[in-house]
Amino acid sequence: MWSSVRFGGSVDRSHRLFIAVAAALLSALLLPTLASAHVERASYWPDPAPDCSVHPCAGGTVPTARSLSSALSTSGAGTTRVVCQPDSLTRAQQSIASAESTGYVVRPTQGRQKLSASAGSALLAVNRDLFSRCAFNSIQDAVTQSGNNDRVVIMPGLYTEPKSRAALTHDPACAKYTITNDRGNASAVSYAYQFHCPNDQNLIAVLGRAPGPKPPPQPPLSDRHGIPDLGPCIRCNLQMEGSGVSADDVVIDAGRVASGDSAPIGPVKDVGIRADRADGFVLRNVKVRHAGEHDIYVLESDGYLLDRFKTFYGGEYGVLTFVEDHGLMQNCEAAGNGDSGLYPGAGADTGNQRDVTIYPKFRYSQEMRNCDSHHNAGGYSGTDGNATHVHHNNFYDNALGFTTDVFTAPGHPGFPQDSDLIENNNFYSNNFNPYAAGSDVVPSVPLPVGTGLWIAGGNDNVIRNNRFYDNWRRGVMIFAVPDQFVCGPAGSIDPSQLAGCNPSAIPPSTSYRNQLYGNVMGRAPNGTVAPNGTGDVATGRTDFWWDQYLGNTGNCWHDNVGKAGTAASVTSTPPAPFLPSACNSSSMGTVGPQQEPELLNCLADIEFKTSTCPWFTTPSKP
Amino acid sequence: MVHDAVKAVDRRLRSRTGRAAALICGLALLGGCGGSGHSKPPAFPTTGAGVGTSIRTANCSDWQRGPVEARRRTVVLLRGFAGGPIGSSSGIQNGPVLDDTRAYRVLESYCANHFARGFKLYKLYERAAAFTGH
Repeated sequence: MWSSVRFGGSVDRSHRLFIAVAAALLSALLLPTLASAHVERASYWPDPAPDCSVHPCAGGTVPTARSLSSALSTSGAGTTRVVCQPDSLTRAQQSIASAESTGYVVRPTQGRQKLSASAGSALLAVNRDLFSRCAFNSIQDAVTQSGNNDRVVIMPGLYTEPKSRAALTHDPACAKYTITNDRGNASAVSYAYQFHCPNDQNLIAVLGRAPGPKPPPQPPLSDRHGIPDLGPCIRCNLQMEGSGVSADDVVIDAGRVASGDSAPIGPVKDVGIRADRADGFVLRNVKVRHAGEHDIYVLESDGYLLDRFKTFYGGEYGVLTFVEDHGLMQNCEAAGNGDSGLYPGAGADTGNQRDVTIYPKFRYSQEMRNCDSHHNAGGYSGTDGNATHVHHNNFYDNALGFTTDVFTAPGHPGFPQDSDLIENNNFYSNNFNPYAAGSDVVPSVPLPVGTGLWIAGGNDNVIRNNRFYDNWRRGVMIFAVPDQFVCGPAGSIDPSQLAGCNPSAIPPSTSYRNQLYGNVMGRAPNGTVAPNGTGDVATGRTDFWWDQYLGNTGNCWHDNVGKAGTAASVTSTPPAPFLPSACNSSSMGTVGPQQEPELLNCLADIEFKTSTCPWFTTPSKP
Repeated sequence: MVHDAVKAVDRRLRSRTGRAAALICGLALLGGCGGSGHSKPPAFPTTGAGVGTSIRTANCSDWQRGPVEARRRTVVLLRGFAGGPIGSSSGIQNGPVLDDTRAYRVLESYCANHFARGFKLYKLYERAAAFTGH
């Protein structure tokens, strides 16, 4: 494509140098100064036990959403604060009428849903009552005044939060709250920073707890179980929701409003909605877009529910949940994000690699269901995303439908990634090329266009009963991220440059015991044949692709069917019978002669070429 | 094959050393950092600012805009960033890092591509570090 034409192997080095220098000079002249992002603090998994200092207890389980109509009740826990704009009621009326006549969309693959006349009347009555109680035009103001168990109801409208936008970014007055993080960076924004300067980084900030009585430990603790500087609940069990028919009715925009649900994003703040240490947080029925980094960001919280939401065109992620426990996101749509649409990262490590003194029983700490993630660089990302149950979702029109990995393990507690259950999803038509000239998505990460799913350095994951089809490069990739080289191969790394190394970490600790079974490959739900790749083993354009990393054991593929509806029609690299079907130690990697060079050429070559790395060129349609 | 792959990389590394050194020197001259006349590039700086506003957010556009000295400083900052604690259940304490010269070349090479303009440098670095020996 564009890049291979301009910078392909036929162009000599001096020509490339000239172009690079010219591009650099042009960039310096033409590009605006980018908004500066914040350095994140070292983060810790929350205590998985409920906090019963508030009633009902916060955390310990996924919170249950309270009904919209109950926001009008004067009984029950918490106070409701209503946010609106002058035309909110008119918008509500129009939206309800439209939903009754033509329907509304929760997520694209579900189609339009119609609202019954009785449901429409009831919803309009609720909105009329809410409108009469409206006392805020700023969501942040309503959140700031809220306490434990309170509710913020946002009526239909477009919310740009002018006061938040006007708040300084990197306010010098807040600099006293910076700390040193786990990377040794002394300018990380602490929880106290967020608490005292909530709109420095965020358009809307929900700070669930007061800062702890003691400052966070410096340097950060190596054991990330338990938040060391946790304060008391001040805004736990907060529920924030839109009162419209669907998420489309309440739009929260952290950037360029004129772009609508598209690009350019023109971010004003790094984060759209931040829920930090907000145990029991519920967010539903809103759309968030155009944040510089994450449209929705949930951090260090025990118990969250994100429901019926949409995120569009975040610079990095539509949703990032990080070091969470007891989390659920559902009924959602995510599109246009530079890294991934949905990212449950570094979830509580409650799977096979758990610390049994903290998590006695195996359980899934995160769940994602009934979501559509499309037209992103990646549909799903889960760096060190542990014990996540992903089911009944659709990942399509991304470059890579799904990635869980350990590439960026530092700063992401829970290495190695493990114990996801990925079932009953559709991964299809992930052939979007954000690397092509003119793409509306600016990718922040290198991914192989045309791929359904990869697990890069994960253990004990189960991928079953899914459909993978029409992914033009390949369906599923499983490969190791070799941590035994942390001390450097054959002396090519100067040991004095290493922050630490573990030469005893041999064999590698990643890419073991992953099971793939019951999947339908190369066939759409309606029976249409839509292959993953061409079936060519030499180029690895097959349903399954395994790197056969030396010494990896327990990875297995069985009871899958290919485009003809038979096991024999499954294509794989390596081809059968070298792709193991047994899930025991007889499954052992013996090195993949084609696979290793591809990973090397695309991820670590000192002279990167699109002629040797095919990932950024759209594969031919099989 | 693993060892063969490593050797292949090392062979490529050696064969390209001269060209890469020339490239660095050339960019240093163009970047206004001054030419020393030495064939060996100076040590990577341990003080000063890198490209972009923070090491977590710097991307290839920042790299391309940055002067050579800032790029070289960025490599050192990335080494510290990538080599941070992992919080592992496997005994691994810190993330893998690259030799600075190699890291510089990887970033130079990748960032020269327009499609990489939004790539975060730390994502490129950490992927490369993970696969150096693959």
